[in-house]
Amino acid sequence: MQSKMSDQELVNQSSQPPSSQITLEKASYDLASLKLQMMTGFALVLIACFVSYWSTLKVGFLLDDFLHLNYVAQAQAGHWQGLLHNFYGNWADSDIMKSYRPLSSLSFFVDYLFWKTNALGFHLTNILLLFGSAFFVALIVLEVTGLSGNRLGTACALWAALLFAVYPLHPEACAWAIGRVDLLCSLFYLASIHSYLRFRLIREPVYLWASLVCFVLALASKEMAATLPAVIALAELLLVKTTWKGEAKDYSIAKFKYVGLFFIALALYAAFRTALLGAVVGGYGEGGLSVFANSWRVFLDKASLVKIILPMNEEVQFASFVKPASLAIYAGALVIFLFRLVAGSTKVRPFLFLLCWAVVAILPTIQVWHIYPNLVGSRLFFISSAPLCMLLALLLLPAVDAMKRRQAIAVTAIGTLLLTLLFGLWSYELQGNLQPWITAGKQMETLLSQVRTIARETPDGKHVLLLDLPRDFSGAGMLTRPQYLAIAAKPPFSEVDYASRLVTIEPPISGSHDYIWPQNFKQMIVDPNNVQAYLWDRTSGQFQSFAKADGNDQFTFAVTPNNCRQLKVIPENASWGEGNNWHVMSSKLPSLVRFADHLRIYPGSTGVTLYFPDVDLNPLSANFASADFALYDSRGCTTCMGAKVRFVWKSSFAGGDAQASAGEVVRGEHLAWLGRYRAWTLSSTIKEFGLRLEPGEYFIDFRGVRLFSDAKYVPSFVLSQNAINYDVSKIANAHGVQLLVSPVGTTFDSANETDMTAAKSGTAGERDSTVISQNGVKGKINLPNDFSVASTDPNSSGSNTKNLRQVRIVAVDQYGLPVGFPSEPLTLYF
Amino acid sequence: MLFCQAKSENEKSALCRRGIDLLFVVLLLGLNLLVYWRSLSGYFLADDFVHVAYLQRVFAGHPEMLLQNFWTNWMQTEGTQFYRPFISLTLALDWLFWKANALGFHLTNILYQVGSTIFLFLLSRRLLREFGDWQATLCAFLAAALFAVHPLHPEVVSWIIGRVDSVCTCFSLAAFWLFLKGQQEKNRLAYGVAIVCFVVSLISKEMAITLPPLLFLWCLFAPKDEAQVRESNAVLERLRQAWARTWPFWLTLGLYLIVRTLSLGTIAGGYTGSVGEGLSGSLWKRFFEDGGMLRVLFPFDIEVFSPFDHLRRYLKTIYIVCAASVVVRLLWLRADSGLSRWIIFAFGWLVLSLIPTYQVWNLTDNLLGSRFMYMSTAPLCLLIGLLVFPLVKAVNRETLDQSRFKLIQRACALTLVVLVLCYATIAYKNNLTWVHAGQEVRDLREALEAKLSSLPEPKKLVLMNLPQRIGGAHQIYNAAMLWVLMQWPLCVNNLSSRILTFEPMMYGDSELVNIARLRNLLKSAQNYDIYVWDSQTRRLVALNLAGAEKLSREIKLPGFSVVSLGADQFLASPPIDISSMATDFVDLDLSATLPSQAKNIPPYIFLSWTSAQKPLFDGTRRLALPATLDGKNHKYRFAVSQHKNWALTERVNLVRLDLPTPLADVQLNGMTFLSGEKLIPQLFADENYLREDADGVSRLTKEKAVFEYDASQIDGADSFVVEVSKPNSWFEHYSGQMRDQELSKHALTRIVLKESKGKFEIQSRVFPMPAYYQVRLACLNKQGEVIGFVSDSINLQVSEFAGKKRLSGKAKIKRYAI
Repeated sequence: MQSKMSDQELVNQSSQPPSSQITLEKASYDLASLKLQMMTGFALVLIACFVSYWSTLKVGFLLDDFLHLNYVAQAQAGHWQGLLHNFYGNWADSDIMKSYRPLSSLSFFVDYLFWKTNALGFHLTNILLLFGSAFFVALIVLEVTGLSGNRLGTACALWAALLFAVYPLHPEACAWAIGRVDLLCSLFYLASIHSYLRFRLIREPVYLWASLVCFVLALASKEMAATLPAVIALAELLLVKTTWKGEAKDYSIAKFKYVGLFFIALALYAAFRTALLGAVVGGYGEGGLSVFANSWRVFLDKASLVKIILPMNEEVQFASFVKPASLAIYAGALVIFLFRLVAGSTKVRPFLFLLCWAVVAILPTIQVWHIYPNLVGSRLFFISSAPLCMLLALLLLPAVDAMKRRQAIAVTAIGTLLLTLLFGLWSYELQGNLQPWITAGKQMETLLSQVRTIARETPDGKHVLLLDLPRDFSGAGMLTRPQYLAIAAKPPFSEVDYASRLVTIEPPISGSHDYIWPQNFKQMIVDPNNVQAYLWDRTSGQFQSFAKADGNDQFTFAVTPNNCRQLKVIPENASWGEGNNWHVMSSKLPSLVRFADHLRIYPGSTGVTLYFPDVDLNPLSANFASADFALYDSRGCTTCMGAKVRFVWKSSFAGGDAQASAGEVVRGEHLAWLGRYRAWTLSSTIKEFGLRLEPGEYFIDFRGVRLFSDAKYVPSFVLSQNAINYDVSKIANAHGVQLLVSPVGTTFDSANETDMTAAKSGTAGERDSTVISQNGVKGKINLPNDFSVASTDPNSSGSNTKNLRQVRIVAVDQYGLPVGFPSEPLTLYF
Repeated sequence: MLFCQAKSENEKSALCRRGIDLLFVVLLLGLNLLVYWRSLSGYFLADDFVHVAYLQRVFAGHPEMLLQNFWTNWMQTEGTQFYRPFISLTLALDWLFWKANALGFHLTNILYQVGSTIFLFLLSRRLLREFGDWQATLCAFLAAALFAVHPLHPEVVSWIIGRVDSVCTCFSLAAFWLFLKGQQEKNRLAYGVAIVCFVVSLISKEMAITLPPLLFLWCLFAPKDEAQVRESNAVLERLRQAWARTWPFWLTLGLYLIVRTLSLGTIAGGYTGSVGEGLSGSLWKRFFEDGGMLRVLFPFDIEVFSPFDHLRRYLKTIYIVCAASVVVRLLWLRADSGLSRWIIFAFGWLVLSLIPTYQVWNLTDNLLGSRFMYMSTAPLCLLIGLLVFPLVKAVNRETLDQSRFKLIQRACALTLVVLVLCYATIAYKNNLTWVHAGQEVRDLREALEAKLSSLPEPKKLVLMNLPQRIGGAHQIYNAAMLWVLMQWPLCVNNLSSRILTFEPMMYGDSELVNIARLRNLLKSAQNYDIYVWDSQTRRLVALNLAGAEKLSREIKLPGFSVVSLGADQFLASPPIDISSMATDFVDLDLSATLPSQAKNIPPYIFLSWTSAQKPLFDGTRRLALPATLDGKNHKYRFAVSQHKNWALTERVNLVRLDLPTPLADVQLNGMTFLSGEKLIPQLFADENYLREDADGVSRLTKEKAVFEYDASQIDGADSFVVEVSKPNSWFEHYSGQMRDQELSKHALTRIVLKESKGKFEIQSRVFPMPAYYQVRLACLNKQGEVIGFVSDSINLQVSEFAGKKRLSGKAKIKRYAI
């Protein structure tokens, strides 16, 4: 009813304008002034893009860039196979993701033609692509306001483009060379929408065809474009006016027949892509369509949604005024919008359209939607940022309203002021968010030159061991995978092929960066072929020589009435009491009550940490911890609360505190395979080791702790001539073993800590892995025949991770249940 | 606009209006469903069980019982006096269709709530029609929407017997609306139906008696053209006219009062016994001091919304905006002369509707008792609507700046919409407590069924507690309710006789336990499996109380001293291991000095304890005593065994003392755990004369009650006094505990015995009426003071006795109803 009244009022106002209100004139088409306006806007947006991203020109190549540079460089050298594969197969033949993005590869190839390995050119292209997208943002706003607005549409368009140019969530797409998949996709996506709206306005079929072509190009850049038909349908519903005098049924057909074309194009694309990739959904993992049924909840993640309006990298320092100022501007926008709603007759449909578009455009990210505190994943919001910027410009400027002149002037003035402030704030945030990328770029440059120098100095046939390849710098990806290091150490990125001289401890397929296989590491350290070891130092951004650790091989602390007071307790004002007498305790601070053979520890609401006295440990040999305690919560003793108690230590590698969960294996015995943590194994001597109790309503009766070698819990084996020789006699209750073989192209390297803290994890029956059981605590298991061609050398397969497999063994008891921990995996390349 | 295709303009607008009306009605229905759809999975709760048992009897061949309600006390209960025959009819109708399926009852409840909402909408629109169709409709809709989602309503909507209020309100509002229709359209039929609706609402709940004064008030406030008043002598003429138009309602009210008085034997009614006495004593406090009035505006269940919940802040902000809009309107739209009259009228209606609740009005912080506000929320919502939404008559509107008026009106409507959304969110969350309460009762029934099915036949299950309530949602608070729950038709087999309970008979502190009865039971522990219901995990937890050995000697803990005790600090004991069942008292000898700046706070000592099952100190096991902290030695005695929390601990591992902090020079001279053998006389019912049932009540099998007693261990006793309580009164209701150290001032009669051990009898004629009674024993010294403590009471039910034929019929389970 209300909207009906508003419509009537609009009609009245346009036909018989009362003197006090703005006359909705037709914008006069003065071509010269229009050209000037367009050129000025064009220049302003271009300047905004270049000024904002100028610093990224020096960023260089990072992370996945090398994967794509590898095949374009090979194509340039005459080996076209890798490049062409992108047109008929999985993108870059990736082992962790299924996707189809040939146009992105092609753009990389074109850049490489001009710029070779000079990253500047690639980044220049990225900035131009961003500018292109911003330009289309402006054009779309012009269409939207042209369809249902007034002359303020031009200002609105310019502001939307400017906001888009400096939106602080864009660095991941713009500052990272391969981030251009989103830029390319968005450019064609926006161009397609603009052409369609143009077509619906002036009915020139060429625009329809242009729109369809852009859609296909967008799809060929990234799958995110799949939402375009839905957005066009939304535009038809909410924006495009269709005059129709015939039957209602025919009206619907007339309105939606063009939309149908886009859906047909999408269906053809889907069929084509499915035929090539063998999967409908693709992306990360193999969930298929059923994944979608339950995973829509990921979009409700509050932290990610907050990042959209407060787009700041939490690992970068920002001035404290930014957050309140941003919120004040948004609140101002909301107030202005509400005012316009109640005061004038704002058209709600454009707002609805933009809002729905922003929501629809992120739907394809359902598998992975999450914006991390350091803005990793922010590229997923790239397309949606376009309608968001348009929406903000429309919220703040009354471009789709009919209101009184004085009100319109006031709203425009306040809106422009707020837009200017927002532009300034966003520019500031953008520069902050770009900092990690610039630093990462610099560090990568140092890293590669250092690697070349080190490799050059290494004799032939010998290796240099690179420990802990940097994964990222505050959200800006760096290297991580040995595969990328190998590419960077080969021509054309390096004058000579040094790859064969470099050895790393990184898993062949990315997993969690926090863990390491300690036995494997120890072997590498003692291998005489590895002449030198280097450890990446994050703070200085350089490789430092790795010094082997020293210290004791074991450590024991058993609670006695006398030694309790030697514990270093944090916080220091924790209260102490004698268990056999009345004692004072606190309901908030931690309390420690001393008994003859145990220490009762209440963590209180602050939690408590105990450091043991006289610790001097060699992390390589004392890499297994066992704590003896029983935990009591409000319902009595439980076994599920071990995660509340953690082992803690000061790690020279992590640059401070590190911790590991104490998982309960047998009641009262809480184990942790500390050697699995990089922060343990890559530390030099460990001088401080303790136990931390998280805050909560529980207490533990603590009796002691021991540190020792992992040999009693982790089986080891030797590979000889296609057979495994194993010995699990040291593991208590072992009766036989199971040999686990991972499926082709997958590894056991865990992404989480669960299979390191408890023997009961799913590893013994890991999904899809082959299991071969054998009785006896010592023996030999023959590998399947096809393993005879396998090698443990990663270079034997040209760093191709698609044909690797891993094997590991786990000791089992007489009932076939796993005991101890599964062994470290051995990677075999085919 | 489907409705706007009629041909003539008049037809078109009439159809249009009807279409819009329908739209608003559907919206109101939608709002109600939005908040209450979860209630459909609810269950019978608290007093509902009384009605289930009643309906069960009615449909087992006693339909005349429904009619009896028209001339007797409602359901012929004792302890309450109400006249609500229509409610039983509505319940019977539900039973007819749904039997014991709670879904049907909840559906009907929602229907009455929807009915009340819609009649409030229609009524408000009619009241405000002088402001023009569109404005009146919008304002009425917003008021009705507020009512639909008002957060004080879950008790009425989601508690089956809570419908008493919604039925009464629904028919009251309908009567008011029909009265207006009759008056404004000169429609006699509507007027007649209005009287019928009034009668129905009267026989649903007594609250409806406010309708005639309300109609009278309307006649005084109605616009002149509607009031048909001559210009001269206006006030008197108005009064006369008002009487002329409302006298049939007054007459109906008079007739109702006569019928009701004849049926109940009293004009007031309500709650009687010690429950009624408790309610009358705290009227002022309940209304004003405990923040009850403020809770009407901030209806947050404290157990659902923390004091820091963001919704509280939002609601406060919305109210501020509402207040600002009132100010803005007063400043800018001063042409609302007609409106202030309606605001005063709505306020008058609100006050009128609150008056009859004077005896029971008690809105606790978990919104218990919010049903008493149900009828009042109708005028309250109308009042909010009228205050916030600016209404201006068409004549006055021409003088206003149109665009400014429109702006303000839209902004105010938006504010009210936001308020509706906020209320809806709060109401939905408040309502969930009722849904969960119902689900827990269902779970309890299933758990009991499962346990009993595996328990060999002669053995019985002792259930030491019942789920009392979640937030403000009642669950089961006495044995009679559990009896119905575990009986056909709610339970497939009749299992009630196999479950023993320790709950209060009607109403009381469920935390207290009659330890003498429990110890008596444990003498043949092999016949019983003892369980407590764990509400958190929703399962029955077995208790091992069989080892209730006697405390062979007093157990003493050593002393301890500390110079100062800071904030959040407390004293924890060394490990102990004592049987909780065998310990009656914990004695404490303590001296400490409270710093002068803390002396205005009344100091308390808190005792908490742990067991193997619950090794942490928590707020649920805690007893308090007032303390004197003047630096001198004082002795304190915690009577622990009367508390379920202590008695059911099995074995106590650690104790803790919380003292007021900061505290200086704390000197704990010792703590002693001792049995009450030499302090509490023992009293037993003679099984030949009194039969103890599963609910712990002894019922007379002959014309007298005979008791055995033993006070021979009490040193220095000179005489022994037996106290009998007043009917339906419980000694512990007056003192709040079972360990009284003086004779009760509320005893019905006393019998003095000279021997320290033996038998005594009470003739049935001592009991003046069929009711519950308590009997207990105290030992007195020569000065007539009680030595030690009075004994645990024995509960009696006297239902029929020789000589007096005042009651006919068989002994029934006595009921407690609202």
